[in-house]
Parts: sequence; C-alpha cells; structure tokens
Amino acid sequence: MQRGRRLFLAFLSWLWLLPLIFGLNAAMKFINVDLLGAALVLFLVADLAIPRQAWVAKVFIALVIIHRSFFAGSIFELNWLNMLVREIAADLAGISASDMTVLTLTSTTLSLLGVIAAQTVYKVLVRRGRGVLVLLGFGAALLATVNLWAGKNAFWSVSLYTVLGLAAMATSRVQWDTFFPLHRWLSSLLVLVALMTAVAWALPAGNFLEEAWWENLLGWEWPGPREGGPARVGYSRYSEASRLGGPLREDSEPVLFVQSPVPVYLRGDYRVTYIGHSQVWTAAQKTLEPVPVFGPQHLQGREVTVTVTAMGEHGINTLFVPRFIRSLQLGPGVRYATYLPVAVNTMYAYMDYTFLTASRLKEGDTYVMEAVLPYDDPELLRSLGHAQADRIYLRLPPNIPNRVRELARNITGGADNGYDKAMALAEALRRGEWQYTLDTKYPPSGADFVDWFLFEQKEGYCVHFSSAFVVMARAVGLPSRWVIGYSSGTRQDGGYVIQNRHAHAWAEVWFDDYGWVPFEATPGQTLPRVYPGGSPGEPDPGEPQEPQEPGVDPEPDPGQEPATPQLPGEEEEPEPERAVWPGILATAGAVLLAVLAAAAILWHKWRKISVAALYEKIQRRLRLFGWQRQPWETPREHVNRVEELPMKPVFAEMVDSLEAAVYGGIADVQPPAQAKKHYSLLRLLWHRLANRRRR
Amino acid sequence: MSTEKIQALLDNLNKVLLGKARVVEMVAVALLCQGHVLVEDVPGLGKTMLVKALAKSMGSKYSRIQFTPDLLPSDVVGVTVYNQQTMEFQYRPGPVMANIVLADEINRTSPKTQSSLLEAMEEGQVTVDGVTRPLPKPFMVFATQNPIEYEGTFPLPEAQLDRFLLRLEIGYPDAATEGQIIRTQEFGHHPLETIEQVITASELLAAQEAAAQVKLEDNMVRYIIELCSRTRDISALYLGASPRGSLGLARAAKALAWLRGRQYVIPDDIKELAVPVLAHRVLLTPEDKLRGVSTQAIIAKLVNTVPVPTR
Repeated sequence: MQRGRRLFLAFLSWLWLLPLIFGLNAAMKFINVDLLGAALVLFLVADLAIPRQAWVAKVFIALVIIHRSFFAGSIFELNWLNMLVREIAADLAGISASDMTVLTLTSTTLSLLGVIAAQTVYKVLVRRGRGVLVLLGFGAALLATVNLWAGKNAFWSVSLYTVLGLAAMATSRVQWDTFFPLHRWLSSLLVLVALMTAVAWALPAGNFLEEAWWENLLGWEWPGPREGGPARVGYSRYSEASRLGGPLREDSEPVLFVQSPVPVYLRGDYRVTYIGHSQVWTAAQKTLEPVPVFGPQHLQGREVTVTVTAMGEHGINTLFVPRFIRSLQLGPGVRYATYLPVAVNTMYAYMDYTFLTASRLKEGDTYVMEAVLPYDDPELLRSLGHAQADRIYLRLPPNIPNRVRELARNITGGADNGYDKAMALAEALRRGEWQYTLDTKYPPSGADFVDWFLFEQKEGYCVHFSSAFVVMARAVGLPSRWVIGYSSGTRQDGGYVIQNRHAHAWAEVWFDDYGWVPFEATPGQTLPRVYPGGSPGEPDPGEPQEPQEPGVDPEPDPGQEPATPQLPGEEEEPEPERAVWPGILATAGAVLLAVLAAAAILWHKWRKISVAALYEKIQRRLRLFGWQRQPWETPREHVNRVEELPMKPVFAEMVDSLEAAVYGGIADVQPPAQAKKHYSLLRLLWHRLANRRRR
Repeated sequence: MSTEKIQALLDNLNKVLLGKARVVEMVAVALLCQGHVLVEDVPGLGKTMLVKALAKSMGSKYSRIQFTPDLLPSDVVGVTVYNQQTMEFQYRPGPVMANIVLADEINRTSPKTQSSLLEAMEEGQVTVDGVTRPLPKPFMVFATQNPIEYEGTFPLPEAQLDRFLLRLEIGYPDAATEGQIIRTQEFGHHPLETIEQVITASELLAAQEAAAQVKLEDNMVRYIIELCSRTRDISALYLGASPRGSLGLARAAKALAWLRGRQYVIPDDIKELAVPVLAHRVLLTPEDKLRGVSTQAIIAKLVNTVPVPTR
C-alpha cells in the first residue's frame, strides 16, 4: 500500500518531466522514442529494486544502452568511453556553428543523463512523499510558459496540473493542511502562471522550439514501422525516382550561399502533370508560355544582383534562380547541360527553362544573376484573366474525388476573380485545420495524394500543401503549376545560407499578359515581396506571419497555426535586423527591470522580516527535507532533536530570539543575520546532498 | 532580585542529594511558589537529608512528623494545656509550627490526622480549640508516600492530593553516583554537616516575589489551558486536572523560568513541569489502573500531542 502510493506520487510528479524530455528530444532531433521509453522503464525498475543507490544502476543502464546503440565491440574495452566523451565534446563545441543540430549520440547521452539527474534531485526533494505539489506547481508553470511562448493553448495543461495536484493532495497522507494549504497551492499557481505569462509575452517570438511537441503532452509518440526510414530533404542528393509525401528528416548540409540584398525564393524546377501517387508530379509535358506583354521592364519592382556560390560536397546540377532574371553569368568551370540562346535582355523569354548544368557544381562554383523582383500589384492581378495559358495547366486526373473539387469551390466561393480565388485557397491551407509535420505517412495504394492529405491525414509539409493548392486551383479553373526550389535560407555573413532543409515547394498561377505569380500555401512560410517604392523583403501583409498570441485560450483558435514551426525543409523568413534588435533590447530591458523590481521587493521584505515569520519560513523549507518541527515540539526540543540540521548554533540562536519575541513579548527582536544566509533552500539542498554522500 | 542566593541554595542541596539536580530544581520551584511537595518513592533515597539540608540552608526551623496509624491531630498541630500556675489554658505548639515540615509516610495515618495537616498546608494556619494561629513564614510541607506497601494505609483522597503543588519521584541514583555517595560518607561524616545558611527568610520572600513577576504571555496561558483541558477528555482518565492544576502549572512555570534566568515563560518550562504538577491531580479509570498504566505516562504522552503555539 505504502509502495503503491509512493509509486503513484512519483508518477504524478514525473509527468511534467515527460514533456520536458520530449521537448529536449524534439529540439535536439533525437527521435528514438523506443530507446528512451525502454530506458525510463528500466530506470523505474532500478528505483523500485534499489531505492538508495538507484542512480548508480541508472548510469550503468544508460551506458549499456548507449554502447549497444552507437558502439561496436565489447563494453569492457573501456576505450569506447573515451571516444564517447570526445565525440560529445567535439559536438557540443561545434553546436553554435551548426545551427543547434547535434549528433544523436550526444542528444541520447545528454537526455539519459538529464533524466537521471532530474530523478535523483526529485527523490532527494520528495523523500516521504513531500514536495510533490511543489514539483507539480513548477511543472504547470513551466508548461504554461512554454505553451504561451509558443502561442499555444496553455489552458489545458494548467488545468491538468491543477487537477493532478489536487489528486496528489487527496491521496497522500502527508499533513498538507499544515504545510501546503489548498488556497496557497492555488494562489501560488496563479501567481506563477501570471508571472510566466508575462515572461512569455515579453519574450521575442520563439521559433527555436521546432516542433509542437507539447501537444503530445502525455502520449507516447509511436512512429510505427517506417518504410525504409525517412527520406532526406533537399536536391543535392535528391533522386527523381524517389517517392514523394513520406516522412522526411532534416538535412542541415549547406548547399548554396546566396549574396543578395533581400531574401529571395530560388526556383529550380517546376512540374505540370499531376498524377496523384508515387512521385505525385511527373516532369513530362513541359511547355513554354507566351512572353508576357507587360514584360519585366514595365513591371514595378526592384532590380537586384544575386550571386550564388555552391557549398557542400554534394553539389547541385540545377541553377536555382529568382523569378525574373535579366542575365545569368556562369563562373569558371560551370557549363550548361544544353545550349541556350543566352543574351542580355532576352532571358525573360526563357524564364520557364530549367537551367541544368553539365556536371554537378563543386564547392566554390558561382553564378551571378541580375534579376527583377516585381511588385505584384493585387489590383492589377485582380483585373487579369487566365485564357492564354496552355490547357495542360488545368488538367487533373479523372479519378480526383469530388470532395476535393467541392472543397475548392467552397473556399473560393466568395471570390469573383482569379487572384482572390488563389489567395483564398492559399489562406485556407495556411490557416485551416491542416497541420505542418515532417513525420507523415505515405497514402495507401489507390488513394489520391491530395485527397488523402486534405481529408484523411490532415498533416504534411510543403509538398502536400502546394500540391493541394495546385489541384484545387485547377479545380476552380486557375491555370497553375507546382514549383520546387529553395526558400530564402538563413541570414548569415551578409547573405543567405541555404541548407538542404530549405528545400521547398510552392505553387504558381498564370495571369494573362503578366506571367506566373507564386503563391505560398504552406503554414509558417512567407514569400518575400517587393513594394513599390518601399523596402523590399518585407513579408506580404496578405500572408502575414502568425502572430504570437499569449493568453490562455480555452478553445483552440482555428486561425492559430502552430507558431512558426521552423521545420526542416523550410526556414522562415529572417526578419530585417533593424526590426529585431530594438525588440530584443526592449525585452531584455523589461525582463531586467521586472527582475530588479521583484528582487527589490523581496529584499525589502526579507530585510524587515520578523523573527517569527522567518522561523516559519525556514520551517517550511526544512519540511521539504523532513527536518521540520513537529507541532507538539517546542522550538528548543526541535533544534535538539534534529541531528542533521545544518549550522545548529545559528539555529539555536534563532530559537532564542524567537522565544524572546513570541513568548517574551519583546518587540524588535532581530533574528541572527546568519540564519537568513544559512537556511536558504539551496544551502539546505546542498547540505542534504553532502550528508547523503557521507552516509 | 538575582537568582544567586537560590543558586547557592541549590548547590547546597546538590551536595547532599548527589546526581539529582532535576529533583533539587523542582524543590526550589516549589519553594519559590510557596507550594508543597509530595515525594512518592521508596525509603532510603535521601528525602530526609534533602529536607534537612533545605532547612539548614535557610537557617529555618525544621521538624519531622512520622505518621503512624495511632497519631492524633493534636500530635500534629499542638494542644492547649491548663497551666495551673497562670490559671490559663496555654498552647503548646505541635511539630507543624516550623518552616519546613517533613511529613513522613503521610498515608499511614487516619484521615482525620491527615486533614489536620492539610488545613495547615492550604490556609497557612492551624486552629486549636477554636483559636486560629498563623504558621511561620515561609512554610513548606514535604510529605512522603511509600508506593510499594499499601497494607494498612489510608490513601490520600483526590481533594487533598490537589493541594500539593508537585509530586516528585527521586529515583535510584546511577552506579557512579552511588559510589560517590559511599565515598563521601566513608569516614562517618555526612555532607550535611558542612552546609551553612545561604539565604534568609526575607531574601526568600523577595525571591518568591520576583518569580511571580515573570511574564506569562497569552499564548502560554492558552497552552496551559489546552494541556489541562485535554486531561479531561482522555478516556483513560476518570478525573481530569482541576483549574487549581492549571494555576499551579502557571505558577511553577514562572518559578522555573525565573530560576533559569529568564523573564518570560517558554513552552519548555511548561512541558517539563506538566508531569510533576498534573500527574497526581488526575485519576485513572479502574480498568487502566489494573492494566498498570501510570498517570505520569499518560501526562507525558499528552504533552507530546498538544501543539505548541509558536506565534
């Protein structure tokens, strides 16, 4: 019975550890959940079997797991430990350079050690079942913060942990009333959540939490059998024959370095024929469109020079280009695969070409383009038709289910021109019920790719969203095509570094006399747009980034996307620097001020604390360690009884002054100055740990 | 009024009653409260020596009454006899007319004789043939009871036990102390002989006055009341402590606090005195008596359940 209750309390208080672990793993790309689950079960067994020295067993278990997962040879040839340490050290040393991505070895080791440390601290704190509520309160506040920070719904996690706290109170035989009364539990939770809400609100939009792991709060995410493992994102090692739409994993290998004054989407290739399975799109049946009458020279926009340098060992064999290029100069060693009539001012006619190179680009190979980034005037586009486009841009396979067409018609029902229809489709996909994830499943054989995504799976990545956009656009009569390329990358060293994970797919719609206009249907992605006379590179107001919305929403807002899930495969637009720094500085200043104000208030209260209040405060801390005064004990009896009490003479002195104040009725008794210092929670914790070690 | 004189008194007593500092301290508490002490223990533990030493240290009059079944009240309080020379009735004081009275084996005499002493204890006076005469001050009674032999005894009724401030048990000395006792008396000299007077009657009265001035905060009053009222709810007790018990506890706690150099009472004083002050004022149910439960144990357990106020 006692053991069962202990186990239950332990489980309750571990609950908040689980999302933390999952978050850690999501952030560090450690997705081997099976391994972690096995480790946790083994840890639990160790806890029950040898409660006192469990951590030794746990470390051993962790080492065995790591050895079996990452090393060959015998575990008793201790050289592998040396290698392990060196690998991790090297990995951590390079962590800032390589965009927060670490080896699975590192993340596994650190996760397991972190779990062991957390569990050990927990056990020290909550011997005899106390302190569970403290941890639960901390868990609730932590989750609330993380969720609010990420613009997620924190209501349920806070409620959940409140209920769990009450359950712990109800089931435990510890005298909660004297140590943590209900109202204090609730009020401290309220204060914590309010505080954390303020912090979350003040922090800059967090996009480093790369996955919405907190959604899966208590459930084990079981990925199930994978078909040959997730494919890699990107083109450098991309094979045309590979099947599209399955699970992907990130590949941070840099591919291109783009020197450009503004962020640009680089187009590599486009697809016309939708087949709805396997590769989804085929490369066959390309056609050239008539040269737009308006011509780029008539377009409002900005002329820029874009220099692209190849990076990495797996080079590309396609030249990725912005929308309208005026010229394309190849660096030494780069040659076209096929002859093209390249000449200044004639490029626009061939803007639909895919520029293949004779061989893969080597590191350092460059090409330079002059390009026009046009301002796509919505008013102009609304007035344009779609008649000139080839019919193949409207073709759909006959077996597309009717519900896809119906959905497209419903979404575009309110629009009377092509531009508004396309915008409606893009917005619906970006803000609708469809979730962004890289961990998808292939559609079952016979199912249509877009139909499966829209109505069954309801989650996917850019391929899914852009394909769905094209299919639905065609269903409502908009000539459109599927474009693959790179999104604008990460700003660095005056340019943009494009990694394989920035590989992206989007859609373009034809407008008569104007040409192809890109539309972004994937949540969390933003097309860089140019404004007449304004600064380029601002996000399009028509497709705004999702705002961070702190606050506790009882209902998930359908318009609220997972806050900028910065997922592999795509990277969101880096904001212009001038917009970032004032925000960061203001936030830092606000946080600093708040901390200082809180510290001042606490310091003031702390300085004039009465000896009786101080005594009670210290008693509450001692209670965590089981060193507290029993209700029937006099303060003297307490100090004489508890042998483990640190700095006993100081405590005895405080008892003397307490007696003078409380029983002698003497006002202005000052507690001994050292008492405040020696009985901080940290000191007590340290004392307990040190004492345990001695024992 | 400092505690020096009382400390010197304690030193004297400790010279005689070796290794029993706590008992000696309790005696001093009773002295400071003008209370009487009931010593319940087997013979030969030094009760008489203690009382003699006390009397000698105070330079006051000491008398001893050995209670026997045929002892009469007049043997205690004195008689009036007709003086043929003066043609008047003349009062001849009994042994009770002293500062320190040792009433040995008080439960061996008849209730009538017992009650004659008890009036003296409570009222501080004796009435002989209708004339009331005050007793000398200070006046203190040490009564002893043998807890082993009950045959032919008249146990003190509750109402009379209540008049003793403290009930003490001296207890056997430990082996080392016992050896020390043998050594000090090896050559026929008793340490009592070396004791000198250290305090006068007026100084003692001043000390009593000072001890009464010790501060007793409201929270400590509440604590005392809580302790006493809980004795009335304990199922093993047939009779709980009377308000005289709480009054005695408060007075004794003040005296103990003063003795230890404090000007205020702390819960430790009260806890320490709870058993000597309360245990003889409560009455066990017959079943628990048969089970061998002692009231001391019950009170000792009680003080370890009542919460101590800390604010």
